[in-house]
Amino acid sequence: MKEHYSTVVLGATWFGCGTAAALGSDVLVIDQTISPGSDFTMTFYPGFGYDREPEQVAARELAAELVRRRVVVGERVQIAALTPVLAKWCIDRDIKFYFSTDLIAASAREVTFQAVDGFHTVTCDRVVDARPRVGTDKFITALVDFGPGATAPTGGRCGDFELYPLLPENQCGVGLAVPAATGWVEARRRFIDCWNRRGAALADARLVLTAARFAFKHFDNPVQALDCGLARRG
Amino acid sequence: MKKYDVIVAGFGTAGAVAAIAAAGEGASVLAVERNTYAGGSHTGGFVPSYYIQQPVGLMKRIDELAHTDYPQDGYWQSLTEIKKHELEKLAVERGVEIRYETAVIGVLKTGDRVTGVRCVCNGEISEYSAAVVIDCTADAIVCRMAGCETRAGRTRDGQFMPFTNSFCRSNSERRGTYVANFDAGRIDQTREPEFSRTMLNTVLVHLHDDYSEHRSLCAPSDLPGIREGHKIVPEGRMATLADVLDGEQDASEAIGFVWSNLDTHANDMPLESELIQDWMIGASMWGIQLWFAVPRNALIPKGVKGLMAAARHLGVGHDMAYALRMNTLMGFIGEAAGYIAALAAKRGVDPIAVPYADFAGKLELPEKPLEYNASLWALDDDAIRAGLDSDKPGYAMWAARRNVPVEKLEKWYDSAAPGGNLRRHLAFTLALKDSAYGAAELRDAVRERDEFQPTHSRKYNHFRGYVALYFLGKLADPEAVELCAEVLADQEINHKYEYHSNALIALFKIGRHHPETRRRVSEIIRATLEDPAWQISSRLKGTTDTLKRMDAVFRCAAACELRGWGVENHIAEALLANHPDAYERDLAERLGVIR
Repeated sequence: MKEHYSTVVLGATWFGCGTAAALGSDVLVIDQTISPGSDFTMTFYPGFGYDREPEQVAARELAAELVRRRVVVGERVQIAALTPVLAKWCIDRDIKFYFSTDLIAASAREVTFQAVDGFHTVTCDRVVDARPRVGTDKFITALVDFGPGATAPTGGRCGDFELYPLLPENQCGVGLAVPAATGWVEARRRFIDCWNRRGAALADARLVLTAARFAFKHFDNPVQALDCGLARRG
Repeated sequence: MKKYDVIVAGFGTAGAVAAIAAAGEGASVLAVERNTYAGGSHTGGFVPSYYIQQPVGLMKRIDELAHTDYPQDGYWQSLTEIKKHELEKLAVERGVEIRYETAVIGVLKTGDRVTGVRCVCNGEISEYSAAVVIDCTADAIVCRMAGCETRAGRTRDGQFMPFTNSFCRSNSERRGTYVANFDAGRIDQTREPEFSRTMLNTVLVHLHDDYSEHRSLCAPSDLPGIREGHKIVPEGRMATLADVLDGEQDASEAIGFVWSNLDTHANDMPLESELIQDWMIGASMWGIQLWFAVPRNALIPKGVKGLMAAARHLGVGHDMAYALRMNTLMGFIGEAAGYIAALAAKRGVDPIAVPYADFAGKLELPEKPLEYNASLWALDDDAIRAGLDSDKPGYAMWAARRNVPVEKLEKWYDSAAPGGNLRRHLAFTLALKDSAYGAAELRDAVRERDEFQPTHSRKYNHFRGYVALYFLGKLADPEAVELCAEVLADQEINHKYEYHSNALIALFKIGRHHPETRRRVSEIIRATLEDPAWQISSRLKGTTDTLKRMDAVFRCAAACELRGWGVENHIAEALLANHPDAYERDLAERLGVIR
């Protein structure tokens, strides 16, 4: 691998992918997961405000593509479909990724990480930290299903849970806020505890999958995150 | 530095069970996992099912508890999700300390003894020590860091089995999830940038113009779907497929038995070992299920103390790994590793020093499984002849291979009618025993493009014409050279991939054994493979219509073969003209075919 890049982007998030695309060809994006956009695609939090037009052309085109492919229909989103659409977007822009990496150290001009082929230390002119911003809270999210023919809620709350509009229409996302320092064991314990006490609006729902990543809600939605990256706005 | 009795590196399918088992024996256990949940492929990899063999022992009890603790009212009855919670819950209840998002970046060693691991979590490096470390990373990551000897892939070119593209689908009618799990091509998960390029590109299989027709897609897996990786070289003897097929398995210290067929996903079978091809192609035995003993020493890496390996990287041969990689196996090797590690830590001894009798009683072992295997081949002469003369010749072929002398087979062959089942299957059986006595019959079968297909395997029964071609290659029959040329010149041949790939490999073998044929053999190979228009494709397993181009792999093999003979060629140019994917390009570079 190269020893020097103009930019190393930490995190193949939607913001990170937008940043990489904006900065050109001498950019390396490293991420702990195996696909881009996991800050949304590996949660069941779709965001909101997809009708707001992005500023950057490439983001507008992606937004239109999501509608055209019916990934986004009104306020509902099929989250699983975001991954392949973003992957294609990244391939078309020849963004270079190292997936499945473990970050060991990062300074302003140097990044050390463990990749599948061993340890790497690369120097760069700049490092952009595109990893999810940790605020006060984060959200453990899940996919729930209301059964064939049912219509799941498109928003609001039910007890401890926020509800998120997803596709297909008989499914929705649920999110539980936990303090930012909460680990996975405790987060899942709280989630199951709340799920077993869920309110009437979720009584007929069944838990399908809990997400493998926390949702941080720094951006309204993934397209907005991509847009900010393209505009080099954090 | 905190010291534990046992550190489990990798809280996946085997690792979670290992941690639970060790903690249940009173050991202090730390589990480190770079991902965010328990269960690995079995949960987040969306492969909750058990292939053929149902779980035993601790894994079975865990499944029962999962259904009780997470009942149908409120949860989908899919082990995918409820197992994720149950494994974690049990581990925590037994006092396992779990550190997620924690990756092993090194080992601590004193001489030849592993004493702990070095990890990173969110940029912070920590060290943990233990009496015993169990590597459950599935790719022998800790073992390799510790300097253990490992083997990687098949002998010919080091390739691993194809990986799987796992995407979770939901079925609202049945209120369950299932995995869209199909072969996605080859990968070497230890090489970059090919690994990342492959990961990015494989997602495109799920790119659709209109997702309203694909609403069942509900989540991509965050695991790369690896089926095979590095394997440890074990202390003592490595169990091999030959032990199984020749009836020589040592079950004296078995920690469990796998009941399975050799579920290979290799779609370039002619490049696998000859034993595998004898079984899979020669005798069409893909679907035949056997018992495979898993010896205790398969969990003990050679020459390094304080370390065990319990995941699909256990110390068995590549061929045997086709059967030894499923969830049931992961459950019982994790369980055994946990018990052994806990005892070793308590007694202050190395895992290999724990007497078998001290933990075997805790394991759920089947009753005399190897007697079943033996019964498959215990056919008398009449039964063998009848089997060979039928449309289900596989068992008879293998029994004859083991038990009938060549001289007797030759007599039967002489008295059988040419072109009939008995004669053709005797020719095959003689070839299995490396006898060319029936070579003329084999050549006839190829010339006729014999379309007979046996029926004894539940899937993947092979057509006799190209099976005969496989055997001619095995015998390195010099009289088959022009026959191979005819096959390769026939672009309209039915079963083109099977005929062409076997013809090429047959030519390699003939040239190897008969140097006087190399000039002509090289001409044929070059005429075919230097033409960029030559392309072959094989259907990827698990798909109905996804074809994978295979010509790059065979061009690599051919270029290497001819290079070994000192024959200049331009096969590499044709390979490049066909736009190899990232993996194929990397393979070609690794093999020195392209620079």
